[in-house]
Amino acid sequence: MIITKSWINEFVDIEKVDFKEVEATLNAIGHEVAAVEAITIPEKVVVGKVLACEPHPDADKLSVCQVDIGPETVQIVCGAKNVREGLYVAAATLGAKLPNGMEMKKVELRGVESLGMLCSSTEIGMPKMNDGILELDDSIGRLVVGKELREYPTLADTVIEVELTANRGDCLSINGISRELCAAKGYPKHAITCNIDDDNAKGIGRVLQVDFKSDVTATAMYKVVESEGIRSNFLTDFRVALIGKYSDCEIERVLAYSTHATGVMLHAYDFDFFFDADLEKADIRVINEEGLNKIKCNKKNKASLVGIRHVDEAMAKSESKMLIIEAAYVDPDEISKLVHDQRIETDDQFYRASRGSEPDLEAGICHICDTIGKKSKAIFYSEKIQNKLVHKQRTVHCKLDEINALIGRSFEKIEINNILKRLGMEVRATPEQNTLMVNIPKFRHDIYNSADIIEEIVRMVGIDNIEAKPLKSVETIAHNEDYVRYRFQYDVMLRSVSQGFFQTLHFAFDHSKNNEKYGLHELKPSVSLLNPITAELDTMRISLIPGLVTAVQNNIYKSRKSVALFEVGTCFDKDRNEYKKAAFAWSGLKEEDDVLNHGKPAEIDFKGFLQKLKAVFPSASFVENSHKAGYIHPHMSADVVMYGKVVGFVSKMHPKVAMEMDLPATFIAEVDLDAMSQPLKQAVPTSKFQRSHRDISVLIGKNVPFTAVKKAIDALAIDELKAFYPSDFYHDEKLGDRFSLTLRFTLQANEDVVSEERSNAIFEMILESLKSNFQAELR
Amino acid sequence: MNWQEKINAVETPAALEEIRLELFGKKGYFPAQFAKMKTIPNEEKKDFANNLNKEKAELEALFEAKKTALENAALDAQIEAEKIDPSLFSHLETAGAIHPVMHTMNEIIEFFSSMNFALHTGPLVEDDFHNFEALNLPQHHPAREMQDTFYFKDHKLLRTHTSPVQIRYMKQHKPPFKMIAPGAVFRRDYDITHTPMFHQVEGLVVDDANKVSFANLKYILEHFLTHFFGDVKVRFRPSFFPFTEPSAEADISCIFCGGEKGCRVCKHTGWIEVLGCGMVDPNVFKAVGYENVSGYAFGLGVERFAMLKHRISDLRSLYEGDLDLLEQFR
Repeated sequence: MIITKSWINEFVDIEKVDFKEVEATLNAIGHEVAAVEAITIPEKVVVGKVLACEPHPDADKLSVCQVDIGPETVQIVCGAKNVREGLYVAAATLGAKLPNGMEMKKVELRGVESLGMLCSSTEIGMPKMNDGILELDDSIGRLVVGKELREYPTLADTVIEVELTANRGDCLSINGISRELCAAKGYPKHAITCNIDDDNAKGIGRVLQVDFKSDVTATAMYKVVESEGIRSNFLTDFRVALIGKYSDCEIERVLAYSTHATGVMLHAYDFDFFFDADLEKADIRVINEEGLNKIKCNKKNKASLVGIRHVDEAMAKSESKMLIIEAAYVDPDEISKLVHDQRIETDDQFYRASRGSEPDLEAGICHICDTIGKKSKAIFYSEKIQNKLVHKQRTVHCKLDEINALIGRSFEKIEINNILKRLGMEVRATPEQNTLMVNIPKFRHDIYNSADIIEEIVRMVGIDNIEAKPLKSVETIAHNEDYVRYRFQYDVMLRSVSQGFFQTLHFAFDHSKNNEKYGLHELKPSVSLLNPITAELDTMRISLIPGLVTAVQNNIYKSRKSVALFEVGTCFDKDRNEYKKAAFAWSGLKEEDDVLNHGKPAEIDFKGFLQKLKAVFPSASFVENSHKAGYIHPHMSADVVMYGKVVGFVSKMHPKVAMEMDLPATFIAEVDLDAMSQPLKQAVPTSKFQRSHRDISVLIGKNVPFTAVKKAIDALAIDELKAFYPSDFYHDEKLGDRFSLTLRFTLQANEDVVSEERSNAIFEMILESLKSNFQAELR
Repeated sequence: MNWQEKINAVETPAALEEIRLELFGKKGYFPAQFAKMKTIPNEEKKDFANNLNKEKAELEALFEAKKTALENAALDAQIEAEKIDPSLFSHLETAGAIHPVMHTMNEIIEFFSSMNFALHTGPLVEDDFHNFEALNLPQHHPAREMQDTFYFKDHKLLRTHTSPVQIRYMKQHKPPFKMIAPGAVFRRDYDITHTPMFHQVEGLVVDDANKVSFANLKYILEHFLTHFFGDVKVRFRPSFFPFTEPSAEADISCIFCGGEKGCRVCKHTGWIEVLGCGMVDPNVFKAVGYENVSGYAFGLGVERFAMLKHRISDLRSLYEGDLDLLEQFR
């Protein structure tokens, strides 16, 4: 909602008020000042009068004008089509600097001297208006030749963009905002006046009859005007341009101007459309069909819907000689519901109507007639035709102690009465001391209950005047499972960071082509996305990997040599269940070139990647891969197991995919964080005795996974065997299909040092088991 | 050159050792001198022995002093040789970084957790009741236009705010409580200043009727905003949200121009809007079956907080995974 200082000043007397105060007041009462802009018209741009205008002797499109600029008359060459004798113009005189950087100097145009320029709106920093140069009139103030345009407060105005909240349709006008300012600060309000003289004109009844059916729920008021051509004045055009409603049709400009000024929904019909030759007058029928208020001509089927849309043919055009001006109001909640339920097509007017237009129709008719009368030669038929509906008075009850408790400040009843009165509400006496009965004015369709009343009080008192106070409450236990889960996820993030991974974020969407490409499952059609925003984000993501590797690819493209990224986010399965996953990708070098690796960093390898994952998830182990996806390497991949449960996979990126994406060696992993149970760690008693280590190297089949070896040794259930792990492995051609595996064993007993004898016995048992299970032999 | 001069002239531990052997070794000077005692007349023996002992003590002291000096010099030389330029190693970064949005979200969670707010999470896929209906947004409400929603074919939707988590929490818990709901939300909007997914943190406090006031809401948010943004002014403006009444928006004084001059970021108003809040609308309590309660709620955009605090100018860059940006948050 755009307002300007001079426009507001027409409705409320703020002449002597610092405009900063107006801004502050608007913010304080809930109408956010989103932007402030002062229109600056350059110096030395003055009111000029074209005294004479001759065609340029040497150029078809130019005119040579003698322009009175106050102290003197100068010759200015002008290229605009609309330049003519007698016109008041915006003349940029010598020395003027225009916003586009142009400075006025004496120049010759095709051999004719020119001492300045006649300007269009945009050339002097005003919004786009008519084609050609500006045509000034005294609507901006008395025209004084030679006076700088910046001296006119109506032009060098301050423009404020107010961010109105959705419930305040009553403030969608200069009048509405003014009403709020008066309520908040007590500024004097000006009445809307109409200076047309229609007292002696013919009565409207001679040319128009309107038949309102009894079930009509809208109110409407009609006025007829006859004119050879509706003209809008310069100030109207300028302000309509400021609010972004400039149209080439002057009727539309006038309608837009008065609607924005008063908030009343105004339209103009073409008299001839409704003319009934038999009656020798225009005939309007206002009827109600299925809740919709319709305006139609008796003999035609097409009908306009009040507040929703119009029939184009019925509307006044530039050439219309007689207009029927309509001001109408319909309950905003009523039409919002109708439009939603019946899915009715709407036009521009619906926005204002559904948010609540101004119900004071008289003000709208008065304003538009005055605006038309200012510049047009027009005859107004006397009187108006309107319907009267019984206004159902809305009354809200509220309790004083509730108001005080909710706001957190103590008000006296009289203070509240005064505030509500200023807002146009009538507070009625009740027998109960504590209770207020408030009558709500018709223009405040947003007020229904006591919370709404409290909101009004808070607005008018100002939140700045409510002292902040801590809440005193009983102790509750805030710690819960969700917090524990969040902490775990954040710990995973911190550990990932310590391993060199950078966190990324991607939208929880994906391109369905990725699922196809990588052989991932799809969301079932019955639960798929109905209205994706782009083709590339047409489904919910199944995995974090596609987004993550795209980010890797972008960084590699930007000449990065080592890229390590991770993401923690929600993924979906085919039934659209949600899973919190963590994914990792490492591409290229293990680290950047630096003094430690003498500028020759190694490439990351599978083992190095596993080590980093292990640092993030210390209890993870890696077993043969069971996952299938296009990006998984069939042999350099593994399932990630935590506490006996497969929680994800780790893999070298399939070389084919890496090649397609132009990536160096890349490793990826994805785990399901929700699947990771964290059993309580329970300590076993520690021994006071020395531990002994022994390495054993065995020759064992190449295809025997260590998992199997571990299982066989674990099965022996040897008490003294505290730990064992592979400490080396080796293969050469001589070993054929076997390889040498070195295992490190740690023995320790709780009661005594493990004896040599017992130790030998243990290793015999182990070797025996390896031999019988895997045909392994000591090397 | 006498012995004193010889010891003084020594430059290495090896040369000193040679002199030690010459002086104190079995075949050295002093054993040889003491051997002369046998041949010296008895009456001279005492003087001879005294002189010799005195000389020996002097040379021993001189020797020890020289030895210490040489050892110290050697240690100094070694220390000197170990000199290193640590600035060569300043850029050996091995750590990655938390994403600025997640870092910011954590900071917000930490503040409210320390104020005893319970953390609660909810599903991203929501239904109409939790996302709209229960939050006082009936089907034809014009405020629904504000939120362009992603729908699924089974009429479910992606939550457009974290507020549905409030509804879920209220249906599971009894007041009094204080809770926050952080998480991703979705709107069908994608341009320079909008992404189809972003993050919010929502807060809700509910207690007995007439207990929780607007003054309480102002108290916690003023403290939170000055904690998060530092030395800024906080302003509340009345506003409108369907699920709170009275509603307000909180602004902070512009952190770019200080709020005095006005700049492009604050659109020459001197203030930047940062969050929305208000007293819970009675219709919301009605929708979850609460009676005789009062409460406040607030909600904020995490991306906006991160961008303002860390001066990140491009919203979309937060979702591009570009190391040029991420590395700055190590």
